Amino acid sequence: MTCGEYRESFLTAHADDELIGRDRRAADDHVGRCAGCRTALAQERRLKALVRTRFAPGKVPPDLRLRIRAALGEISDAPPRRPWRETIRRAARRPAALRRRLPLGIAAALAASLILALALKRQTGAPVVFAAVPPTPTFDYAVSKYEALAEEFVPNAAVETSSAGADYAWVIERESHGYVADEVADLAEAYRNAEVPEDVYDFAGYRLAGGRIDSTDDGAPATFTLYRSQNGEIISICLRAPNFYAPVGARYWAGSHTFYEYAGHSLCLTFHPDHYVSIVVADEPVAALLRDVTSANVYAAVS
Amino acid sequence: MRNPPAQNWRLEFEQLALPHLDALYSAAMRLTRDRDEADDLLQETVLRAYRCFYQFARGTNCRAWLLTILYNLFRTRYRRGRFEQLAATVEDFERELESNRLDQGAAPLSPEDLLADRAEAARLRRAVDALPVDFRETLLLVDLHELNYQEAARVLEVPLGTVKSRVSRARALLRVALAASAATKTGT
Repeated sequence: MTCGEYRESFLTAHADDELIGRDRRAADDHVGRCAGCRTALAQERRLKALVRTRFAPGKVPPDLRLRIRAALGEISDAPPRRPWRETIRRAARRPAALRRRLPLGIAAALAASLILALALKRQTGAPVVFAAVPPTPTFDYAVSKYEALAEEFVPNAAVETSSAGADYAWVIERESHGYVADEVADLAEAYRNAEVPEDVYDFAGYRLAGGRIDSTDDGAPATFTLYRSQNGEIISICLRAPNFYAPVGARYWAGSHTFYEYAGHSLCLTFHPDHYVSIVVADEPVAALLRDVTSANVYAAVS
Repeated sequence: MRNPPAQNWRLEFEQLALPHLDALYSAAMRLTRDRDEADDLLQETVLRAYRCFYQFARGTNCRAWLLTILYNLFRTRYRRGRFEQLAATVEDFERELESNRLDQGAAPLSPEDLLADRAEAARLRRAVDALPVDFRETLLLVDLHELNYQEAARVLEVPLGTVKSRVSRARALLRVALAASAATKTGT
């Protein structure tokens, strides 16, 4: 590593302790041998410390602190829900980007990995042990909505029955990273501008029953799409969850999808841009959900 | 959503989130540059955080989580576009240095020199304040609020590499500004 390379590409991250592995070793090694870069690193770190000490945050004014505590006290027992408001309008359609969610190649890779897993299991003779999924509030929410909506589902999004697809079920706003669709109006806009093939689960015997635009208990927007068959329902839930990460304990992975068994249900978790997630919940075994979701993606990709 | 009992939730929230009020307030003041708006932004951030507290992954950086909410609210609720209006470009910044006839070729000022003099600290503040807003906010998230690059990227909704390059550029600009300021003061 030359001094130029170090200062151009490594110095800042080195000072911030952001280097790991080989980069870290190379940077440490370089400053160990180069007095000039060692000085540069020390100055970078001092400048960082200087900013921290000179910009120590000011105190929150006491009256504001009191107001915040009072407001917290008011909502602590009964977190308010934001009333949702929006009239659903028919939307102009656009080509379905969602139809390319899982390329055939990934499906093939998935099939190969399943065969490999089975082969390994047969070789060792030992059962595959999965970590338990920890309690996950977002999953709890998805399951509770599934249980409620599978019983009684009242669509509030216009059902589109043309061959071009249904204009609901999707809340993702892809246009701007700075845009947060946290108003139902925004959500409806995103909803309208998306497109999911209505017959996506047809092959598995599921028919689209309808879509809902709604709010979570904390007022964040969420959408629900119900597919129904003689044997049960599949619900696709989409919401924005900025600090939600995939919990451990997944049973399968397929492309961007992760599959879980959770609270007696099968779940398929998918992360999307801008902190959106979709969770598909079903009563069928998780292997069947894996088959249905991946097949649906293959179907969507080729249709 | 299955929530823990309200009592426990409230207590846990107070223990984890409220110690960061001062940091949030300073960020709100920087973003809004208005006392009343900063008050509103802070209050709304705290209430939003409380309502969404179930989403906070225990064991992760609570300050980063709160700052994410604050920045999101600022972007969407408060003066959408203000962020951009404040965003002087690097070129503007460098032009300003130029127009002030500051000697950019002056020797870099060592941090120790600055610490020796309160007035110099004020110069540092001014230099940071004069940074292009994207750089300044990124630098302060990393240096002042002690977020790592990943956390800062999440708050700002930019790629990780952007955080790294902004921090690097911000420090470089800061050195130039400090050196120029010192040169002006000493008449060199």
